[in-house]
Amino acid sequence: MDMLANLGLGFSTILNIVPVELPGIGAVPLPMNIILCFIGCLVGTLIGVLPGVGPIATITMLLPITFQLGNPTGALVMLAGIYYGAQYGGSTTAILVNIPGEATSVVTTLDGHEMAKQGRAGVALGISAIGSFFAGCVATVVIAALAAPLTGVALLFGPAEYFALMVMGLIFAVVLARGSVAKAVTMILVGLLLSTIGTDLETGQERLTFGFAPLSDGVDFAVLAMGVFGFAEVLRNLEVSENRDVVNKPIGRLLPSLDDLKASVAPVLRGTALGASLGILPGNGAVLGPFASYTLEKKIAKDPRRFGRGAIEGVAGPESANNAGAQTSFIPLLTLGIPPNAVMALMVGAMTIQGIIPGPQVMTRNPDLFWGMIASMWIGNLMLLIINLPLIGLWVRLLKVPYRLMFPAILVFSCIGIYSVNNSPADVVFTAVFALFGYSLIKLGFEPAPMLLGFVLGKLMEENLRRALIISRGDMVTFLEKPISATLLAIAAVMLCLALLPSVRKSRDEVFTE
Amino acid sequence: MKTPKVEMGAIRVRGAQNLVAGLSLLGLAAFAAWAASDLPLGRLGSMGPGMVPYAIMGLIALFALGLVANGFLKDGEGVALADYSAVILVAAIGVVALVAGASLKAAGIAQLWGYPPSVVAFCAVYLLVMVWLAIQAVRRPTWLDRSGLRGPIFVVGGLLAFALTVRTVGLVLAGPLLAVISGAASSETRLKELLIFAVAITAVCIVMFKYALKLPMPVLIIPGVIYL
Repeated sequence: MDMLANLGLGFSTILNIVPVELPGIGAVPLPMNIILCFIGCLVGTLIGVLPGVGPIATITMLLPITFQLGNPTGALVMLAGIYYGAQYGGSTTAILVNIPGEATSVVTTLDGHEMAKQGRAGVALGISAIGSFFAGCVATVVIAALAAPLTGVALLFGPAEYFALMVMGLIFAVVLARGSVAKAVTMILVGLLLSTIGTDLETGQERLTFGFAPLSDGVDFAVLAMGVFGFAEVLRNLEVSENRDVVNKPIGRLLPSLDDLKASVAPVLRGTALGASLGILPGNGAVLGPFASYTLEKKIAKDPRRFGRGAIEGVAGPESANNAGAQTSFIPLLTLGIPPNAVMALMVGAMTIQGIIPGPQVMTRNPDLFWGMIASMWIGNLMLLIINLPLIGLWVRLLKVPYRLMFPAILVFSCIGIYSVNNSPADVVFTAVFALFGYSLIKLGFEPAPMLLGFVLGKLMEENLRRALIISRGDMVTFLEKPISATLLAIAAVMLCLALLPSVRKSRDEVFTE
Repeated sequence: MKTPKVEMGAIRVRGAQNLVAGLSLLGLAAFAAWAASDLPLGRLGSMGPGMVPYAIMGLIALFALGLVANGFLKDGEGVALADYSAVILVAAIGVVALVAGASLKAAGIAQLWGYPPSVVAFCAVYLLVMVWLAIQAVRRPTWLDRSGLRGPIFVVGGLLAFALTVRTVGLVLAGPLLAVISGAASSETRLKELLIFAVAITAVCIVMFKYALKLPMPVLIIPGVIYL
């Protein structure tokens, strides 16, 4: 019953009507949060649907705009809207252009694009929206049910446990990502190193700033993210010559037929369950959801050969899993303050700028913000259903914008955003430096996403490490003596060893290449 | 990639990319260690500001050595100069600018137009390089596309131009300048189309950011005459 009361609080926050001063009309009562969520979803989809702009780049581009909103609830609700919009935009490009926005929509390209080629793009988009909406509804309830007890657990944690938890979170993120484990760990370390730049919290001494005043507050999160994800991505895209496989078949009807729906019900249910449970994992579990769902559907199908040739189950299942996982991956962030992936790390950055440190205390200190955000997830999913299906013609037209015009627009837009965060032209220059840095990392075979995780968690990790060691008077054994922290570290160690074993590594690679 | 195997005496480089990655990280760790050399370490029980950064650098160096070893022991991706040419070029311009700035300072010039001389030198050299590349874009487009310079140099150039003009002249100039300079980064760009597009996108941004979102951002500044 608690859960219902909490969700009630959330929805009343979202539906809250405030008088807004409109020029020329005067004060008009408007449900501001709903409007922000709507704008977020719309703009998120608008940018996310551009080929070559994945959810991470979309969110980094729009992040500075949310900083301008005065109230944290509104900003986070809008950000959540942007997130879902970007996710859905990624699926749309996967189906229509065969370009997955990010790892989680790779699977959608297999059957989704095939369906589009057969003139059934509308049905693929429709079932993906319906499946996502259903998965979103279930995941919202899962979050609401799990948040309170998990937060209770987190409140038992001391500095040693927290440190161990963050170590485990980072290791999970590495193990569940693709590419070399050693290189991903190195990237986390580089992120940690970047986070130490600035004034030391305990002694007030400047670290690694070269006596350069703008650095004494540390590297700005938005600057780092925009450089490494936004602009470096542009540089990378400039190198591949345009070869866009936009479907020129008609989109066809959007609403799936009764037969399509019948075929999709079970995959949607299974995908939702798989995605929701994998998404809760402290590492980047959400990535595995769509892969697992696709493999499962293919295994239990009567005729597995249909997969890869436009089977609707191959879209319905993974898309539901994708959305369920995207949503439940908020759980580690909201309850423990640990971002499981780069997108959630962006959320942490946004929350911190609004003056909210993610973690168990958010729920007790700002209950309306916490539950409002959870309620906004459901609203966001509903918005997507309302926005996307009628506007599909617009998205298709956006897909045809050539990259040679898209990237100058992206740059202008992002630069204004970055400049407006601190009204500082120097930030634009720093972003350029990080763009070159991120571009070199990509060229050297590093995946930059783990770096952002390390950067976001760095300060918190150092703080907890130092506190734990002050309490234990410099005894490192404290991390192994406390049962919770010892368990967490042991899990992390086992995961890391497993990932480095050749046989496991091989099957891990297979999971991601299939 | 282009150079899978490089003979180096008796030892063979088998994964040049990992080797370069490892060496770059070693350089990064060494640079950070130099920058942090004045930070006291403290003890484990009461850590000083230097303890955690040094520990991280140590770990980075460890993994970097692993990558270097990996580059010799295992077959991997090779490297191509075009992948790094832009970063090397920008770093070289930086070094030239630092030297020029230092000698201008020695000559008694502490500031030029309100900026430190090294910053002015950097922008001047960068501008020259961009002009030269723009000429190459017309004369030898295939060479430029293959050099790996085109994308990064023009995009970063556009960003620099934006940073220099946004506060001094305003968005009216900064926006189109960024769009046009960075537009040169793609070989598919058409000049006329880009010019129209640059003006249009700036107009949209001014309406949206300045008037709809009310960001405090100068649109047009002519000193003593107008401040929008």
